[in-house]
Amino acid sequence: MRIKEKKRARKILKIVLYLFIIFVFAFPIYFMAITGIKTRSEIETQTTFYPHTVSMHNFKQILSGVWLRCIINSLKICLLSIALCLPLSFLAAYVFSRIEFAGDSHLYFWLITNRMAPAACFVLPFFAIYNNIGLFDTIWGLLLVYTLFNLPLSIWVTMSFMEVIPKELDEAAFLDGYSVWGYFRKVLIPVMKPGLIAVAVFIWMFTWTEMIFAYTLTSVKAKTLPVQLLVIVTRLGYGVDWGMAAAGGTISVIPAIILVFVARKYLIRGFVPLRRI
Amino acid sequence: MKGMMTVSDKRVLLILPALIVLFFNSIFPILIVLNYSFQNPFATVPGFVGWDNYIEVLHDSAWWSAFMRNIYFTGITLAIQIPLGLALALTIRERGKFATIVSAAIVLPSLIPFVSIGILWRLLSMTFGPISLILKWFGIDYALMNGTNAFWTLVVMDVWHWTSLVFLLMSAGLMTIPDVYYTAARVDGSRKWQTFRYITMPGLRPLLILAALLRIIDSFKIYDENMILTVGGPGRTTEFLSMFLVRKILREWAGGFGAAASLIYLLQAVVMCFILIMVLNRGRGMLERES
Repeated sequence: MRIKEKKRARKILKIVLYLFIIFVFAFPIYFMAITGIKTRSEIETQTTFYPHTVSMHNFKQILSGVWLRCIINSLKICLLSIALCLPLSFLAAYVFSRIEFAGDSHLYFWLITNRMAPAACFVLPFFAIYNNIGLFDTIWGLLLVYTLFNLPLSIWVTMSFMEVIPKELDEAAFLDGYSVWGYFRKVLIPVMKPGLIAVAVFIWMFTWTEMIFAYTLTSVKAKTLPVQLLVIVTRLGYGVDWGMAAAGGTISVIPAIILVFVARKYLIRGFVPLRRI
Repeated sequence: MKGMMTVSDKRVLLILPALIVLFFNSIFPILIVLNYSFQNPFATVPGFVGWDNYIEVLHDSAWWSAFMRNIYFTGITLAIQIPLGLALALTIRERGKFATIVSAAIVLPSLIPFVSIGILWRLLSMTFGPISLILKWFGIDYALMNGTNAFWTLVVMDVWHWTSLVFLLMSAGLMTIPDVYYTAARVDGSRKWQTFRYITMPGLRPLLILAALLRIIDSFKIYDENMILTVGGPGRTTEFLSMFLVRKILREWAGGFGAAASLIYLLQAVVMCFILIMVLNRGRGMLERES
């Protein structure tokens, strides 16, 4: 009987631990979400763990005007970024994994450093260039910059998925008379679908959250959600409207939450190929 | 064979579009920064000033404070995140529904925009936020902008934010260790600690190094979170390198200085990246093909 009791105690301990972990990681997000529904006076004068008076005022403001434009801009850029980077990185990864050419590892190294480089370094030149070319405050301008950081990462991840697919598949397909493009369309892409989805997720996550470039390179027309959040938090004068900030923050978190719960089974497995760069 | 260019393989050209975009986006701007760093573009008589800008950067006490602060910050957060992420991954290993939910919850913070993380924690640590309330029960008087509180709140925030990534990588790593090894170890009478030391740790090694180095490199780039949480305050005590750089360039218009500082920053990132790749590949070539 003692072993059974020990096992049961262990199980209970485990459940308690799990609940505690969920609490630690989910509570801050919950708190931000409810702060968005509180009234301003409540936020600033009391600590409450649930809203005493519910006010949808903040969320109504979010779905109109400047905020809405920011959200739409962010969405636009994310989708465009995925549409641009996926094909480019697919092609590049294909070349890297199948073909050897002079200087390929040096090229690859340079690619990866692009991802690792601090964004703040590139702020100055891009700001200067864009002001002169007229790409300042445009979605296309921002898109171009984001590919700087998205391409290397997507090539890297696509590579690790592609290396698992044997070259013999290519050769067999070519023997069967497929052209290169036909091979891509009918064989390689369907086989690599989970990997490509993982890459799309990575691109989304970086583009949706990026702020440094968005802040320096946009002002009114192409402003994205993170920038707007920064703006209302650092506004001087009337004091910060934390309710609005919380509401905005909650909106920015929603895609992540949806993503995590839809793809939770594949999430961890997607990182396994990263074992070897 | 490596080194021999297979010219006849026209498929190489497929890489061109990506290369063109990258060239325009990265080589070109770096050349511009290089150019600026040797000049003083906003002086009354713009012209070349040689290495002056670089010398000025390396003598600037604000730069050194920011740099040392980054090192200090990265060291502390890494020392907490990596063991914590590893411990979490080791505890949550089963495949059950509950475990998946917990894993999903742990991973969540790494998918949230950095800005929102800043907002989140600012809300928690406000004058009437939960943190000060809870700490009051313990008799501690907490205010965000008080002394070193800002720095430590940042540490806690960073740990909360990135332990999830470490957890993710460690879980993936644990999945790659074949169960056969564990069974063999058990048959041979290995105890828990021994199994951990001789089977789990070596199997985790590549991903552990990847996690550590990714964190080191990314941690140096921190900007959004501390911008929102403390705006570098109180005073300049939480101003990190990226913030320092942006302030110098966008607020003080120190063009040449900013350019030189940018390049030093970039150089340091490249060096760390180089080390990352060397350690991970340990002698193998970078694009080692497993035939």
